[in-house]
Amino acid sequence: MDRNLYNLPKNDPSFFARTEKAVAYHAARCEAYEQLLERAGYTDRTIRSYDDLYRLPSIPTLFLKNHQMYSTNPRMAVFKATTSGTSGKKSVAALDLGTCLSALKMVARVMSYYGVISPVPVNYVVLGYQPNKSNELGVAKTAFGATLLAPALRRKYAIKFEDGIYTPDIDGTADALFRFSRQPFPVRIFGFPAYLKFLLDELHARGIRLTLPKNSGIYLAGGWKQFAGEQMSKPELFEYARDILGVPPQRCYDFYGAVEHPILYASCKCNRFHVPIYSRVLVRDAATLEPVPYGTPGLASLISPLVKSMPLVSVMTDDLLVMHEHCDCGIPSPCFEILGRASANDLKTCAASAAELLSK
Amino acid sequence: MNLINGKIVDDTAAWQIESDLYPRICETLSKPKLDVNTVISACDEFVSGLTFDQYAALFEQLGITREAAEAYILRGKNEFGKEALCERLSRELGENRENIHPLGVLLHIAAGNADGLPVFSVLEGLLTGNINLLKLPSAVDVVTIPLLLRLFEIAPCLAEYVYVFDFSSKEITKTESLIQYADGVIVWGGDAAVSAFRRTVPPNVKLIEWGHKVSFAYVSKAVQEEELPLLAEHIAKTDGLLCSSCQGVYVDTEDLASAADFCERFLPYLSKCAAEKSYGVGITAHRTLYLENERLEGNRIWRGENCGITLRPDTALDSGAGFCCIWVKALPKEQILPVLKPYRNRLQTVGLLCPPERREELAELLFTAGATSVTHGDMSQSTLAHDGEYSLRRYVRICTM
Repeated sequence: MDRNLYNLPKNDPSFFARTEKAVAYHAARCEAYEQLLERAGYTDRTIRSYDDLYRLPSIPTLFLKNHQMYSTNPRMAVFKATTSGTSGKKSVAALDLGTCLSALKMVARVMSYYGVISPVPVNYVVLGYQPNKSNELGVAKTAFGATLLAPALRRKYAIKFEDGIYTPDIDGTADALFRFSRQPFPVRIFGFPAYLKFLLDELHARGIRLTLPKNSGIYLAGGWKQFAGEQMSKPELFEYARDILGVPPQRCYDFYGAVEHPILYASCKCNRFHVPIYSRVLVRDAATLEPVPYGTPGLASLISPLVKSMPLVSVMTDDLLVMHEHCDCGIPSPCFEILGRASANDLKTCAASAAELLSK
Repeated sequence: MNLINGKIVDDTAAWQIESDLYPRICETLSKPKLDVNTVISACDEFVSGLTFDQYAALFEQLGITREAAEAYILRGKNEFGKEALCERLSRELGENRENIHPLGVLLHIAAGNADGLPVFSVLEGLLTGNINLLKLPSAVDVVTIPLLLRLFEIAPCLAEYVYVFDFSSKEITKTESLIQYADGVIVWGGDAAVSAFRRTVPPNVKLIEWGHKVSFAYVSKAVQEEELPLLAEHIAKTDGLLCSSCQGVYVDTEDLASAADFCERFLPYLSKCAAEKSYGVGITAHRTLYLENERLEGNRIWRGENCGITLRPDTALDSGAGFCCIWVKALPKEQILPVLKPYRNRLQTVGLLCPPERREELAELLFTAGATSVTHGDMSQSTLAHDGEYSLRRYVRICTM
């Protein structure tokens, strides 16, 4: 067991120092970031405590959508991903080689903590976009990346790319699951929660109940977006998956991450996302942005010194979340739950545009 | 939920009926023309009996306070009472209407931004004697069907003139299938929706577009203090969601300092109205993020309870963040035309706050720039014509014998 991954107090001094260094690094290389810090009145740039982290200006994703800010030449980027903002503005993340390697190390460490990395070959069902060269959507890349965590026998994508367009293929997905269930290898299902529910509904409607091979698992990411009406709680959804697919809830995982903050958060058995040593998550009052105590919902600053190519040290997403200091699962670090979006209506993002395809 | 012939039916039944709609439509059309007085009396009876308690649960579901609901009801009574409708018909279609015939079948593609809009659109279709196929907006709509059912209770003969279908906008084939029955397609919605229909609707079907419009206030430096509360009330009441909702304020000045003075003056009024509203944490957070973004952009901001004003150095006509967040920009009178003209067919209401002696001149200029309605501070007051046109005229044909 990796005892240090969630031991924040031990890591705090080094995290503060690396964050302070990261701010200075980006401020020196990215003029727009330096200007932003100045406009925000950020003069004392020492970071020695959580209070100092709160003081560090946190960039709203809206700002990132209007300004391309780079600390290294973006042409040196080895990985580009965009959020699928259908509202017209896209957020672009360009990561350099060093950042990608750090990120991969981080992902590998988090994934192996949850036993997701395995040498046993598996069949994959990806409830998302099939990758193609022109698709820079973060979700497509992450979904493909996820299928590298254990050797892949077959990959079945629920949204297939054919003749230059994406079309949903629920029938084909159901068939693939049926075939995979008769093979001796574990099955891994990746995707949006709404998609999983539609798939389960479809199987249920056809009277199909499967028992996927031992060690099969379900790995979800993203919210319900405009399917809020269809929303089930994670425990309910996982019970539903047990019923239809025969996958026990303890093998169902939920992940959280953002293009602007490429840190992987995995849900524990209490369905909460624990903060690993790679980042800190600070919740702020929804009206004043002042720090709030544990248990109070608000906006969040996601802080990490990991990215070198863009000044994404502290970003503020549109998610509303609540932090808890302790969790019954035994993982020692604070953990959070996502409560919704900072919006009157459902903002259209990745899951929403995938969902639109599905309803065509 | 789908509504056919006054009855709620499930999707399977609705689309079965849809697949064989022509005989039904022809049967209805072969009857004597729908008597406009029947529609008017039904509307009148409907609105005059309307009380808050009757629909209390519905309003609660929509998050509409009693006060706001009563304002809606009053407006409904004013606009759909017998007198108002008769006046509107004479104004839009003239006194002698012998030569006026309905288009026939209207397909309404309703938008979800204003509660009750689908019903409003169908009523206009009925007033002009048309059969109405309504595609409900994708957003959860809890208003349309109960209101239509009540209308049919009063005038059962209207039921066969209304078909309500509930399906996602992405189900293009279903929309196309409905278009084949339509003489006119009425599209309420944004650019994406309007462009999509321009491509889909065949040339022999009339396309009637009510696209998204932008509204704003134009304020002269010499504006009287008593004009400001009504504008603040309007901003708080509509939350920036309607075409006629004020998105921001142009101040008739060249320098930002004078525009900043306006922000200073206006904030207490906006704050007072906004403080009376209760917003959920999602909307509060949306507003906070917007203002934080503005701050990091280097724009000056004024914060009040539940509201915010940002002073921007440019002159572009942007939409605001809604929910009592508005922008203020400097736009001297001489610049009105060059700045606003490019937004052709996008402008709707301008709340003009200025001394009386300048009113005519400024209104004329705003009309030339493309505005279709100039009001005082309360920009949500109903206008004679929708987006600068008499809508009923677009739903009829003039026939000669």
